[in-house]
Amino acid sequence: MEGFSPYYDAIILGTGLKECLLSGLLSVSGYKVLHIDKNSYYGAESASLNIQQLYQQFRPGMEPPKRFGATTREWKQWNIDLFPKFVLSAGALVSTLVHTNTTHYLNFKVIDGSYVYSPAKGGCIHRVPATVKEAIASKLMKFGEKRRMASLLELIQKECDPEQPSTRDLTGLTMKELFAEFSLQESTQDFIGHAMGLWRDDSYLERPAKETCDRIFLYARSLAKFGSSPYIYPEYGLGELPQGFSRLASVFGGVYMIRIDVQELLYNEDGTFRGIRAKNDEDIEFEAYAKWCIGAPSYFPREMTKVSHSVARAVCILDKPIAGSDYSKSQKDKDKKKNPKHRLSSLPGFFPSCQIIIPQKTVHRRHDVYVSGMGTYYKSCPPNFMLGYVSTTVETDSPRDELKPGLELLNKSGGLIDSFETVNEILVGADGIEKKSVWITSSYDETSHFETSISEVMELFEKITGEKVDLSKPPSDPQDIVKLVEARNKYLLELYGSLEAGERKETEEDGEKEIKEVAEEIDQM
Amino acid sequence: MPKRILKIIVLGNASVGKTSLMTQYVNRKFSIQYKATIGADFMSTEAVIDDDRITLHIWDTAGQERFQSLGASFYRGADACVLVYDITSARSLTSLDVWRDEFLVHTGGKEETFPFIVIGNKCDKEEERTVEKERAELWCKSKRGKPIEHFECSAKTGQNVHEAFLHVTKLALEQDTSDAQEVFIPEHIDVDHDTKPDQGGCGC
Repeated sequence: MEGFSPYYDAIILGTGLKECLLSGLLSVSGYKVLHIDKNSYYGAESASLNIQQLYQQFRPGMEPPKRFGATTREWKQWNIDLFPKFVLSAGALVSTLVHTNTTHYLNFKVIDGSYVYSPAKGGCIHRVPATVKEAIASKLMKFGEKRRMASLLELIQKECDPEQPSTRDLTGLTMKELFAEFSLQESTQDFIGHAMGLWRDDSYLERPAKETCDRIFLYARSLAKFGSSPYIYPEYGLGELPQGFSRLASVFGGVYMIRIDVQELLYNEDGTFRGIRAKNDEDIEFEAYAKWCIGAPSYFPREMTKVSHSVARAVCILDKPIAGSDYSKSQKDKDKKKNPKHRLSSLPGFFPSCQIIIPQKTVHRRHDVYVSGMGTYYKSCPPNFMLGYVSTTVETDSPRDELKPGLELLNKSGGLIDSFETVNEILVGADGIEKKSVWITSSYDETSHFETSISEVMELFEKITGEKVDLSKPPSDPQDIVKLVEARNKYLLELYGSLEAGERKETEEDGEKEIKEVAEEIDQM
Repeated sequence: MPKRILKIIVLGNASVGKTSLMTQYVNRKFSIQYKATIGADFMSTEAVIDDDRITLHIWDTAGQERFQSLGASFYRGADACVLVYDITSARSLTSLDVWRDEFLVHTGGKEETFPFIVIGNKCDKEEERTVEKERAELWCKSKRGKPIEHFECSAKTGQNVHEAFLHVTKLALEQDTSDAQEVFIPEHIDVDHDTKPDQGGCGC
């Protein structure tokens, strides 16, 4: 292949969000990356599919009904996520996007509301209060309880803010003990732990209170950032996120190849990763070599992965808004000042978006059920439609039934037209594979946000390179990195060129030293 | 009212001189040494057309075209497209069909009306020419709709580069006013800054 260099620091398999973020972070740090995907599109499992692709995947041989669109152009108005998640606006993903300037490639919009389900009065949804003021105004609790909850929130605001001096050690007691201190009722505890702390089950009660308090603080900080809700979402779907990071990696010298069939993983005699043998869509075979291999589970043999647990999910198409959801007060206030033609809340065919948590106990489960909905405002679907998502951790032998509380909530307004259900095993890398210099990213979990995904990537980055990702540093300038990339290329060529002569170790040490010097030079510029 | 920021995409085979053309247009600079693109993202510049100041964001492929691996998000919201071939490479001209088709598939733009221009780069290398001007013009006329405007340029000397980019900007502006959006879609948020959107601005 013309212009293809076979030597890299890392070969990355699969262009899901985690792989692309790793590839971006490695490239920004000056490592040379080859990034490969077997599909003709970016995103792997975290891609956003159009309606035709969705049918292809779930109902092969069937065309989407005419009302969803009849031409390629109309089908492309749909951007459907297979792994529903939102972005916490003060969370780690946003810091990473800002740190790397990847925000240039994406447009974000705020989600209209974050709700919690309550079984009272035949079942309805309530906005999640996260600030003292909102807690007082909420109809979710009685007055005395509201005051007790407000005092807990006040304590959290004070103790978890890194800019304020800490006056109390919250690691020494469990969350259960902290709740008891404020004499909060069980229903309020559930609400705080699940709807604000975003825990999926009750194990947090026995863990240090600090963990939960930090999560509530993150929730409140996210909410304060853009109003309406703590969540933001990229236009055209979550599939834009991996593409943003892949572009970042490319700008910093990463090499991208999609439509590639990886035929064999190659190993050295000592069992460590050596490279890959692969074929492109023109049937041209090639090999590429690297020190490290990172990839999604589907690129590795089954014995290199293990099952952690299973997740049930449903992607739904709706033609009515979700019952009880609405635009936020701040949005409505803003709308009042506007020309009627420009009001978000009166645009025809636009439905308010939302995130709803169904706490486990309210539906007699051990794990929460997550529900969300978004429409044409996010370019997720054409006007007058809405995408609904339900997901939960599998607890029984009939996982599809476990989605029912969520599906019923989506259909309360009678707008549920169709649903596509899946049950996925969450795969993680088997123990000890890092000895082979191979790292496997885990499948996407059922959390409603990306915090777990990002911390996994940051941990992997540190394990692989021995360096920590420093998000406090200003973003690197790609022009500065050119020199580093060139030094790296030269070193890799020398390293692999000398393999047969048995001088690998020497060159490796010399090369690393040389590259460090170039990196320091750049830092001083 | 036409929008003030236009996104222009530069497409074509590897090593036809896409990054060099952009650099020549924006910075009036040229480097003789060829390097596969590293470090080029998008360039921002201003153009004045009929006394209006227009901000242009000119997007490079960032090297993802080398193995035909550009993703859908690269094409989003493009207002115009510059197709580049090299007058010393006949294959780079025939590849324009692939690039144009891929662009139209991803953007959903109408092939009869979407603003394209074609640049034949490296016209300073007359003695190595393998693509006659007539042949490229024929290609431009063979497409549906109005013939695509064709410019022979040199990123090295700067010949015709300015004219070509100015022309594509005009085309994009015309398109922008004729295809004006009927519904107003509220602005997206600025995640780089901590301001609540409802605190700033006059809300109009």
